[in-house]
Order: sequence, then C-alpha cells, then structure tokens
Amino acid sequence: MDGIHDLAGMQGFGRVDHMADKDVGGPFHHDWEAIGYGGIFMGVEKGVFSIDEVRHAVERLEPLYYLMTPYYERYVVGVASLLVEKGILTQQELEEATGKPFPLARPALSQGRPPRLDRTIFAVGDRVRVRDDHFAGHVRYPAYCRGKTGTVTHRTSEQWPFPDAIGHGRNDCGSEPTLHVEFAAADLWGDDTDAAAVVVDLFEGYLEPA
Amino acid sequence: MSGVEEMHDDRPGLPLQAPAEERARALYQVLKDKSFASEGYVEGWKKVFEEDFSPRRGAELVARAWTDTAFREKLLTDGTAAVGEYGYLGPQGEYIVALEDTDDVKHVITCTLCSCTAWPILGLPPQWYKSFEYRARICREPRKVLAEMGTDIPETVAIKVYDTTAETRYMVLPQRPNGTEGWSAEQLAQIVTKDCLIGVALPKAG
Repeated sequence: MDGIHDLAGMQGFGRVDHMADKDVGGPFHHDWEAIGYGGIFMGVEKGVFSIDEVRHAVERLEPLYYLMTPYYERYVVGVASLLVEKGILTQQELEEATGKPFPLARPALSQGRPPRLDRTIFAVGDRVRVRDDHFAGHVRYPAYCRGKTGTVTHRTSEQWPFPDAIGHGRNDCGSEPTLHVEFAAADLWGDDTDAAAVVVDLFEGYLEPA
Repeated sequence: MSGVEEMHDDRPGLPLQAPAEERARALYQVLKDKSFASEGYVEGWKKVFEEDFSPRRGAELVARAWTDTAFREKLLTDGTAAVGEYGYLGPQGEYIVALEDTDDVKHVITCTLCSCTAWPILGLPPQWYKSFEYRARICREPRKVLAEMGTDIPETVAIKVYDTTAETRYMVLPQRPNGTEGWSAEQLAQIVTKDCLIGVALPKAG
C-alpha cells in the first residue's frame, strides 16, 4: 500500500526533536497511552487479529488524519477499527461512550494475497532485486527499495507468515524466511544521500534474482 | 488579520472527535463491559512495558560482549541464543541480530514504516524514534541527522542504516571507548545508553 506511512526518503521534514542521550522519561507520558498497545495483545491473545493486521489498520487511517495524529493515539484508533471490523464492538458503542464521533480507519483497499508459489531460494552473497511490485494491500517493503538491486547479508533461520496475507487476516499465509538485503545508498538516492548503505529485511517472496 | 475567528476555516483537518484520552478510555471500558478485556489487563502490560523491557538489559549484553570474546562471538553469530542465555527474549524481541560497529562502519537502526524495536532489550521506542522526522530522514541522510542530534561521525566511517521491516529485531554493538581499560562489566554497562543501542549515540568513557 503506497500510503503516507511509507515515509523513508521523503524530504522536507525538520530536525528530529532529540539530542543524543538526553533523558526522555518512560515509554508512556500519560496512562491512557498504554491502551492501544494493551489492546493489541488482547486481540492477538484472543485470536481476533494479528499484529500485522494492526499495522495495516494504522496504515489505513485517512492520510491527513495519520499525519496529524500522535503515535499512541494512532494505535488506539487502529485497534478500535479492527475490533469494529471483526464484530467485537460497534462504532456506535464507542460514540455513545464518548458522546462524540469516533473516526476509524478507512476500509482495506484489497483482500490481501497469498505468498507466491514460485519464489526463488536465496543465500548470503546473492545479488537480488526487489520485485517491481505494486499492491494496494499490506506489504512490508518500503517503496524506496522497489525494483532496486542489493546483496543478501543474512538469511533468517526461522520463517514467518507472509505479511500480505496475515495482514488481511487470511488463512493462506504460508511461511517464509526473510533476507537482510544491503543496498548501496547511491542506488537508492543517487548523489542525494550521506548514507553508505541501507539494509532492508525482506520476505523472500518480495525478491527475484538480479 | 487577527482574532480566533479567522483561524477557523473549512480547510481539511482533524474531524470532530473527543480528546484522545476519552476515546482510549471509552474503548477500554466498552471492552471491559463486554468482558472482552479482563480487569487490569492493560495495567498489567503497562507494568511490563515500563519495568521489564529496558535498555539496561541491552547494556548488560554489550558490556559482557566487550569483556568476553566467546560471548561476543555468540552475540554476533546467533543473537537470539545469546539473548536467550539471559532470559531476555520476549514480545518484539524473539529473533535478535546484533550489529557490530567497527573503525570503518557505524550502524543505526530505524523502522521507517512504523516503530519496530527490540522491546525487551532496548525498551519501548522513545517518541523521537517514532517521529516522522526520524522515519523520513534517517535512511537517506543519517550523517546529518546524527550530527544534529550531537553525534558527529567522521567522514572516514561509513554509516549503514538497518530498516526494521520484518521480524528481525536489532541492537547495535558499539565500539568500546578508549579509557575504559580494566573496567568491570558493571561499570561498562553504565555508559551504554538506550541511544547507543539504537545507534545514534556513542558510549563515552568520561
């Protein structure tokens, strides 16, 4: 999904609001901020949704809403959206509880997709290209590496469900290892970068031989 | 061109909604009313997030690696096993890879798509790590971003950024600074901060 969440490489943002090693306090600055994360574990433990679906729900927030809404609040709305979509509660119940509108994520643009049947098996040292793939559903490759060529530096010893499937709550998720693919920064952004390399952790099905 | 009235127009923005806290508490209450959430469920997780998941654990791992060659080797070849030895595996920290800084390479971690972090050994990510500024800029101009944050990386050192896009969770193994010869592991762990583990700071002896 080519959404606003896919921020990497986007220009025009100002300074990161932090000086190295400055004390920033604990993870929560208000008690309620833990409700989004707590809701994720609740839903996953009860088998209502996967953490991948939570990521996708947050990606489905209306773009302006996403940009103007702080981090933990995005997860409260994402979790609430999934619970409504799964029939655990209704938007009306949420709105009755607050007496105001409770805007949720926009509906998914896709039903998701199963893993590829024709994926190639790669090893450390292989040159690989990220498939020139465009898909309206949940994916875990950032657009900056789409179609780009890099080198495999690590192949995971474990496998996980394919995000494009489990992120939509599908049953045909399969499982794949991921590969750490190192891209020369110049291959991603030409001269307009001061990085040497960027390493992206990519599901095998996203890759093809270079 | 002054006054509050002029500031309200029909440009798109946030929809009418209750404040975030009211909506969050309403969500939790509705879930409790339906017995979907048990009493104290979120509070229990909050305690784990605040007390158990901590960068002190990552610092302990770094200090051990600095003082024990065999453990260093294990951390770099099978991070999961090394972290498992300490009982520090957990949610968002089940497949661990440690990234070794050298004289030639500085590693930095990000999650440009959301906020993925090795929670149990780094602690939950701080606000700045989850900011649009960091997510947008760090892959493309890490040297400039680090300099703005007060960490100058010499031009002779290449910067490699790891984008956390699947299930691998990373920690940086920074270089041990000069001036720490003979220090105990406990002393060494004191200078390994959360920002050192993310890769945006360097441990300092003094």
